[in-house]
Amino acid sequence: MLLSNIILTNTNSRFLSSASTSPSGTCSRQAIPLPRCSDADPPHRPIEQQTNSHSRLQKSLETFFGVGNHTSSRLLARFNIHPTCRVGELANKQVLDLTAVLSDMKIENDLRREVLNDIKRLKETGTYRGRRHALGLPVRGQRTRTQIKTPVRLNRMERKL
Amino acid sequence: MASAWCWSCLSRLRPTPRAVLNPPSAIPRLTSAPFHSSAVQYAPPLKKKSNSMTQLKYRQGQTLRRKKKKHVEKARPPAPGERKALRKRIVLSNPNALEVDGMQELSAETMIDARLRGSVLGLPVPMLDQLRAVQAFKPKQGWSIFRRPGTIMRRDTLEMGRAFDKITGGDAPEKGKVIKKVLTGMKGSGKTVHLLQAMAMGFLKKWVVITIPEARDLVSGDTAYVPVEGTKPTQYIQPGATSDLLKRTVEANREVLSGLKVSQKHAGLSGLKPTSTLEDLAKLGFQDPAVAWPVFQALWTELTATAAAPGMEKDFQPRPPMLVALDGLAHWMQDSAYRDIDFKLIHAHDLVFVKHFLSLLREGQASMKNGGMVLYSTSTSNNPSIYALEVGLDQLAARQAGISPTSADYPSAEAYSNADPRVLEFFKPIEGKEPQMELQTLGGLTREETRGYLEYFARSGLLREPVNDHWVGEKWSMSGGGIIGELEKLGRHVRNTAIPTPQTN
Repeated sequence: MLLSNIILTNTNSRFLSSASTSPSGTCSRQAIPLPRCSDADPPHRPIEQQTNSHSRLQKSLETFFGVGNHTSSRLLARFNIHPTCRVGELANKQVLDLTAVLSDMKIENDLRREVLNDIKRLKETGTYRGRRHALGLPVRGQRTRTQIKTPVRLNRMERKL
Repeated sequence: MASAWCWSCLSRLRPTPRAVLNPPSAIPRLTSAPFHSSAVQYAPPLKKKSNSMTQLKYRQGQTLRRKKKKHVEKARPPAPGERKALRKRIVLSNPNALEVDGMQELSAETMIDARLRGSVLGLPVPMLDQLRAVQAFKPKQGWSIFRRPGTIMRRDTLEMGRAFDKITGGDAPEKGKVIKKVLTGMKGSGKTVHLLQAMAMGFLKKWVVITIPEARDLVSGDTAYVPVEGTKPTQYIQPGATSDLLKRTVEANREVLSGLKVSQKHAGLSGLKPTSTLEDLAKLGFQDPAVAWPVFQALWTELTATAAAPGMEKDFQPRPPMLVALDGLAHWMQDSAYRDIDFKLIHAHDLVFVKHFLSLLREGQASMKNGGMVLYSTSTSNNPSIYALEVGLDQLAARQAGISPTSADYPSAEAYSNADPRVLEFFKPIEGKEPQMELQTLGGLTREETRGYLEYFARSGLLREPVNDHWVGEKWSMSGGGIIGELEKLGRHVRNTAIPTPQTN
């Protein structure tokens, strides 16, 4: 059982349904086009989610937006999965457990939408932070003389994640 | 240039008549660049002012930007597992080394022969596969410099040989007894090779040899772990590691295990017939790691059985003694890398596998009723620093030296040192569980043993020096008093021998 099956059965991921399984029922490698937050948005660049059975489970979990080291290591501990477990070593029950938990978590598009909504709200209420987001400037009081590459790149009117 | 307007009356000044002015020439007059005599129109077109500021985009940094070098793949990386295989490769023979004449083999007779002290005995060739199976050889031990693998008979080796001999049989009162030792010693003092010698002797005496070549593998979080229901604190089974242990044990002890029949009833294991051998029993655990731990428990019950269960006496044969060897004990004296459901680290003593093998040190004769030897070695090359273990080993040494645990000289953990209480508890003596564990500290070789060892290098063609007392004494001192790992470095260090100049008389 592969992690891709988790993705397939993840009720949260209605956008990920383009993942296809091979006739044998296992999918070795797939490109999952990331969703658009609204239809007006341009499509996101698809990420290669290489979840073959030899990849590390923790790393595979961290390919989800909203699952980092903190969450993934706790997920593994919760189901008594050792840190260096490979995707192919999982038992069926562990896969089902992980799937159930992942489907309850706010990850991927739901999380993206939430973050974007938060920024949008800041802009609409005309707060300082919202303005800084819109102007492409750092939001949390950093200096602007140097080192603001990231806000210049990310903070703009039509923010993407 | 003067203005065309009068500043006082703001009236337009009359322009100068054209006739007064110089006739306009085809070449415009130069107002600047007085060094040039060529016409401006022949000058190269002016370049756009190169101002780095103008090229930058809005609010971009002014740091130095360099083009990144493209990473060019030169060769294909090695296939998965290839690097590790190379790292773990064990070479046991060097065809360029000389064969040592008259080298004796380790056997049941030579391992107790005190006359052979200080000489290097070869390991029997058929046994090498068994030793490989229990991973007795380690990659950096220098087996690859000699023609064939061999070990030196030092004092500790001969003592151990005698112990093997007594436990195995004859009329000695020690028959069927258990010896339990923790091996320590400086780096390079031969702890791991001492374990190897024990395994070799175990194979020679037809014991069942069970080894854990790397204690760290059990606690490093690299094998699966499953909680045991209803235990408190929760215990954990490691199915993969147990399966590996069974594989090692069967591969190395096939001859012994295939000769012993199942003598107890094992309710949980279907597929086991009354005629099955212990090899068949152990093999059940290979195929399905889920039952590996119950299979191991069954195998342990069989090996420690002193009599058959009622109704199964037909094929019962007395069980041989067992050797249990472990390398890297310190890793089992701390928290493992596993985590429980609440994300707390699991102590190594809560892993059932670890707990079982540690209990052998504590439990006295009861854990191994047919006798045998438990040898747990510390390591100095891959060793976590654990204060409680140091204290525990000091206490063990003090008890052996006859210091009472109630005396003031008895070592104990310092206040506020935060020593692990479970480890301290482990090293406390238990009343009525004889024999207690002992501490064996390996030191250096004696000068005579050193001489025999270095002569072996010379006879293998590695050392081109006259091995005499003076030279041996020098090397003995240089090696920190005969520390065998240091002696090996000195011995294998091939030198260019000075060519004697021809004497012209």
